[in-house]
Amino acid sequence: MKHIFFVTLKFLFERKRQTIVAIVGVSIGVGAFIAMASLMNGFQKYFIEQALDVNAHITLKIKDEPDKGKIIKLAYGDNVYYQVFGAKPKDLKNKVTDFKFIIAKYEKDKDIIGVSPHLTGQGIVKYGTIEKSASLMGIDPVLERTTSPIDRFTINKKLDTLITDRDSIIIGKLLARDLGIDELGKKVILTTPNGNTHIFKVTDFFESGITMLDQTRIYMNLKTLQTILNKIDEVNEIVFRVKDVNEAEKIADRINKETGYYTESWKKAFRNFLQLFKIQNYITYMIVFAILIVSAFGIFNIIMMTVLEKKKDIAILKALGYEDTDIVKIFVFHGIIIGLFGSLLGCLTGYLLQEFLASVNISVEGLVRTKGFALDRNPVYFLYGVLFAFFFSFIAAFYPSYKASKLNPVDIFRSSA
Amino acid sequence: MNIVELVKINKKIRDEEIIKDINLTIQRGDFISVIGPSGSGKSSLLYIIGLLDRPNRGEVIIEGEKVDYDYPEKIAHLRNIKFGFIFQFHYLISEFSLTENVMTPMLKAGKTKAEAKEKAYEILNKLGLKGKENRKPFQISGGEQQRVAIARALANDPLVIIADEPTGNLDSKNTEIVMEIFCHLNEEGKTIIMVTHDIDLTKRTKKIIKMLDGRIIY
Repeated sequence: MKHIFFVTLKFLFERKRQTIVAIVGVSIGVGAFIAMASLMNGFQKYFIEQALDVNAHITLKIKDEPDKGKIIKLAYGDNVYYQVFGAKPKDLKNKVTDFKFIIAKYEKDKDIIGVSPHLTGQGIVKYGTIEKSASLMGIDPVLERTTSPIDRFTINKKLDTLITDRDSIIIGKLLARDLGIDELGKKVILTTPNGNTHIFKVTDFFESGITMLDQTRIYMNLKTLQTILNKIDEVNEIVFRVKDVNEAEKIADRINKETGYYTESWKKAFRNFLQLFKIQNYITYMIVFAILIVSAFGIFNIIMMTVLEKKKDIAILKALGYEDTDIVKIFVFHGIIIGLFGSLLGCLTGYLLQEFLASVNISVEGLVRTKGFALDRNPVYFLYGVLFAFFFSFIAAFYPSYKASKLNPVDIFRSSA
Repeated sequence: MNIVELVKINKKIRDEEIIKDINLTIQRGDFISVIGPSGSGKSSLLYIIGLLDRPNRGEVIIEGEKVDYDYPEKIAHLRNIKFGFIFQFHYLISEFSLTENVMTPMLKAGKTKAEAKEKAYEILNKLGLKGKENRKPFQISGGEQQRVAIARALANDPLVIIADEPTGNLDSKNTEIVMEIFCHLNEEGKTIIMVTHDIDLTKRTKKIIKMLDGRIIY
């Protein structure tokens, strides 16, 4: 093999300009891939982590699907075709009746870390002249801590005030901003759909980083919400935190079978976002793929040009005893070495791009809110980048190498004579 | 002893017969010049002897062993160790230094880089190129370039040196130098077969083959 390396390295290093152009092309592709992958996956992972912490891994609730044909089915049986027009929504029996039993049962489950009851509802919150709609969540602060690291998201760590002061609430940071509340202790008026109006004191702010939640959510004591909604001792959700989030779907199915209630795993709850992320990933990888294809064409062009320019050298190498496979190896190594150096430089470019993105101090506010970009600096992206570059370099180099090996030295000597 | 034997060799290019039933034997120590008009098949004959081209019919026997063209890697190996090629144009690789050009066939033959380098220096020295070993081909004269090509042909101590109009591109002074080298190599026992158009040069060879229309006429 030393004769192969000898010729390959000479061809590469004596044609510095072409070699550098090809290496830079590959490194741009690899660097872009690493930066894009860590940016996209960083954002998605951040969203999922935050969403998993703030929301339940599994939610047990009443499914809000009124059966419009219930009465027809009762009268005529199941084997009847029907269509109901103009049905009026009825007040559904929206409560989990045996919630204490369910909580007691699943607290002991080996796959479950924590269980907590929720009562949810809607309301209008008013501060001064500003009114905003809010998503009310009644919680048991002690049990809530077993299902979510909620203290992490309360800015002043005053979750316990919900126990000591039943008229206190914790409101989302963005909701507070929209209402014009910038300090604790302010009083707001909360109006519920049943017409009840109550005055609450804001004792803490809640900031999860997920815009949708921070803009609408209000936490209060479960008992307080039960009182103002006239739903004494009722809950409409039980949330579960499981040991392995990837098993949430299976455990949700099990709970559904065991309790008869509708259960929803986090994957199901966030399926729209997960689908969106998938599409986003496809787009990202298509762009990076296109960059890598362009750099592969760069390698292809350079090796093809080298082969065309070096026809006489290839002929003389063959006359000196180099085999067809030696010629293939010389030019394939040519491509692989470009791929190797290109990917190494690309890793460095990717690392520097990551450093740059990490240092950018901007407030990102969209689906999630972060200060600066959320990056996933997984080393596996570097490995993938190197493997992609190698693969594309090999493919790009193979055809010109094969063409070179098929050159007939006699034809070249005759045409030169 | 016959080191190369051609038996009823026939070669066609695009339906045109350019070598017709040629029988030829080359013995160790021969210095053969091949002459003939353009298109008579001189170069084609040389390519077949040097295993660069395969005949359409006939047999090539190297040191008593029939060449089997179905094994291209064996043919390449024979070319590497048994034959040294010199062409009208030097065909030196421009990116390589003179030493590296001479090292190229030796590395293929399995010599280490250090061994190949030492031997390349030795041959270049012998051919009067001492002190120019690290130059690139474009940094030396045409005559010197042809001497480097001779050095490369001698690298693996070949059985036969095949020279296709080696002086065709040289002035009289350099032609003389090249012929001196050939005569000296032949005196040392090297077998040389050379195509030339220069009748004067044939006088310095031991055997002359004249070709016409693809046949050896004497």
